[in-house]
Amino acid sequence: MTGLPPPPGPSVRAGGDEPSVVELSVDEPSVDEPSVEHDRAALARPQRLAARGAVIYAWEGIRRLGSLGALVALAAFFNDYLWIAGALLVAAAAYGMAAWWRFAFHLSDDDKLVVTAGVFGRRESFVPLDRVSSVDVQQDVVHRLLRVVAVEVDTPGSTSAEVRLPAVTRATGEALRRVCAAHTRTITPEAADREAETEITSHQPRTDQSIAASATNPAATRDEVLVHRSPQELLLIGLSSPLDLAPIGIVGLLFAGGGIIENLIHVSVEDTTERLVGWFGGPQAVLAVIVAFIAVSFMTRLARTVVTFYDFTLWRSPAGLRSAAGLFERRERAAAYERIQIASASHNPIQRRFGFAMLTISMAAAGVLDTKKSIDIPGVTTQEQDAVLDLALNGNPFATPRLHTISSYARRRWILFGTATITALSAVALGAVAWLEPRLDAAPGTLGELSIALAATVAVSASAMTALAHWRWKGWRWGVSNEYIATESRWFSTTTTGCAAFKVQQVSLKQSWGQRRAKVATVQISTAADWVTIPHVSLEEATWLRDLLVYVAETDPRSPL
Amino acid sequence: MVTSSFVNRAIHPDDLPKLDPAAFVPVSDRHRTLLFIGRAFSALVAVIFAIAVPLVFGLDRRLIVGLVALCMTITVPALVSVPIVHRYLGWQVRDHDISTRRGVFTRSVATLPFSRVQNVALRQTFLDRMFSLGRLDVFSAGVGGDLFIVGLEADTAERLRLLVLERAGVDHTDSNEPVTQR
Repeated sequence: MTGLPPPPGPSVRAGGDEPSVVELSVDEPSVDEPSVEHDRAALARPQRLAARGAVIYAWEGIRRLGSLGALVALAAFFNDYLWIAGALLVAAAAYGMAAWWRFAFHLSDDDKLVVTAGVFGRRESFVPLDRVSSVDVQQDVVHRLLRVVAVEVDTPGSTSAEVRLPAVTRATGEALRRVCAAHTRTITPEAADREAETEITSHQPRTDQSIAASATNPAATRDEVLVHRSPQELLLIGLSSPLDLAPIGIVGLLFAGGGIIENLIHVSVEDTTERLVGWFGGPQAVLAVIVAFIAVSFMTRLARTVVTFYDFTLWRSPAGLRSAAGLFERRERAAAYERIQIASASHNPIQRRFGFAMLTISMAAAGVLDTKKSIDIPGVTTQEQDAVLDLALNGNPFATPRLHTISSYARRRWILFGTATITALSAVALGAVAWLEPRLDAAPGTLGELSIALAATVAVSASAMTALAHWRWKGWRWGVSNEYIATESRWFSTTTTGCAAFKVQQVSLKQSWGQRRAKVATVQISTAADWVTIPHVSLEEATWLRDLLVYVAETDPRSPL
Repeated sequence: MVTSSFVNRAIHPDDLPKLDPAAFVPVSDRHRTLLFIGRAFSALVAVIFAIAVPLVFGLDRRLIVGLVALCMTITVPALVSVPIVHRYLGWQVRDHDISTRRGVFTRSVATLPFSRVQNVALRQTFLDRMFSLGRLDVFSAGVGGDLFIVGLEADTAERLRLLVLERAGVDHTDSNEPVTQR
């Protein structure tokens, strides 16, 4: 990759049972770490959350008072009824502590994680370990101070974590993760044997290892570092990422609020604007503000990238992939290979020039908008991408030839909708000016001049829209084989998405009125992690694609989950 | 050791089993009446509100005309479109999958292989029971990948439920949900 040094090789650092407060131990497990049997025995007895977790629960209880409770407490405080506010807070904290006291979990003999909770009622949840798709270990600032971690255990088919253990010791969290991973391994040898009889295994790197042996040999369970990102690499990735629009919105709102900035930092917006105009002149002042916004957006994006992906490391293990990253909140995610459903890589023109992309691996149970069930791998090179995809999806779906295009109906539709939107917005703006003109004592002819300007804007925008729509349409490609389906779409960034055909859960063909007239359809392919959508495909191709994917899903004996 | 004869051969497009659009089974005719009753009831409630709200709050009486006209603009097309909605509703069961068809402006055909079925549920509202109809929900692990068929005859719905469960290999005496709560 141009600009990025090669990732470091595997490193073996011993991690203790109790990590230091400063750094979450995400290193490879040591050879002398507790055996899985030991972990099972430790988790088999019903136990409460970590004692220090009571503090988190007490705070959660207070937080659950919500805005109404906070208002009552504030009202009582300012009306000399301090005891009411105090009693409310103490009661909320006591409720939280009771919730902590009543929360218990253990691993049953039939390999189910059993969680009981509830202060007044009693709720019991059972998560069969063979259904676990991911185990996330998180540690935010409070968790770090208290030397505990939060563990989320997820299964396919849900949009949120099935079970969350909000505060357990690091050793317990790691033990649970190891047990889940080992359970996956114990059911994998059969699948590996089965696959060994087929042609499929010819391109399966992970079956090269002795998975059965790894379940019993601790040395074989050591994870290997696949990808690591240094701070310098993250700086480059952050600089090449799209602009962060959030600060522009926030500053815009502050300006709209008028005196808010003035009151907060004693800087008058009007004075600042006048000063800028004085320094740069009228149009230059506007340009200076735009440049300042872009600079702030760049900095925000940069900071966010570094904070989110600080010390990013991706490991491979016999059972799955595991990642850890974060400066303030260290978040660890693990995904069993069998649960990985979709991969997508996106890069903008700058990132393309540097030769890297953002790769996202989505696991079963990820909701459409819920990205927390994905592993985002920043700044992957082509080689890294191929290595990760070989592991995650038993091959490289992105290598599927994307020979098919979408119908030119898409281009016509995008041009029509884009132009119609711009025209409608221009008409609204013109209407607003026509309404305001007599009320603002504007100079005669302002409306006429503005109409000409808006008409010119519409004409230029429509031309630009036509060119953009054509560019976007030319960049839309899709391809399918018996093994994989892949799509490539282009807007400002280019996104490639791929999944194994046997992971498909459902296929839908949708046709709007316009699509029926044009004899095209949109194909929606559902997997346990996300949709893959191919818009405006000719009806003949769409029907063929649906029939093919359904056929593969029905005949391929491999489990999609 | 588990052995398998699975071989991933190339498939010629002509050899693919095709979903036959003509083989879709229409839903019960009684569902059309039920749809009409439901929409007429909604229209009636909307009109009552359109009249009552200006009267109760002492607003301009001319507002009643405007609100009722607005209600009519929305509800009359909804009532008129009932036969079109009903005509396109349908379902189809093949050896290995189940498909549904629905929609007026945007029409969709969804296909769910039995091997992907996680759970099946039969639902009957009060009106459904009056008309001896039922709705079958077929759940998969896919995102938005659930499928439902409305307006089934009650006995057809029950037989279809058992068929889907049998083909899917779901043990209907025990929930197949990954997490059970009690």
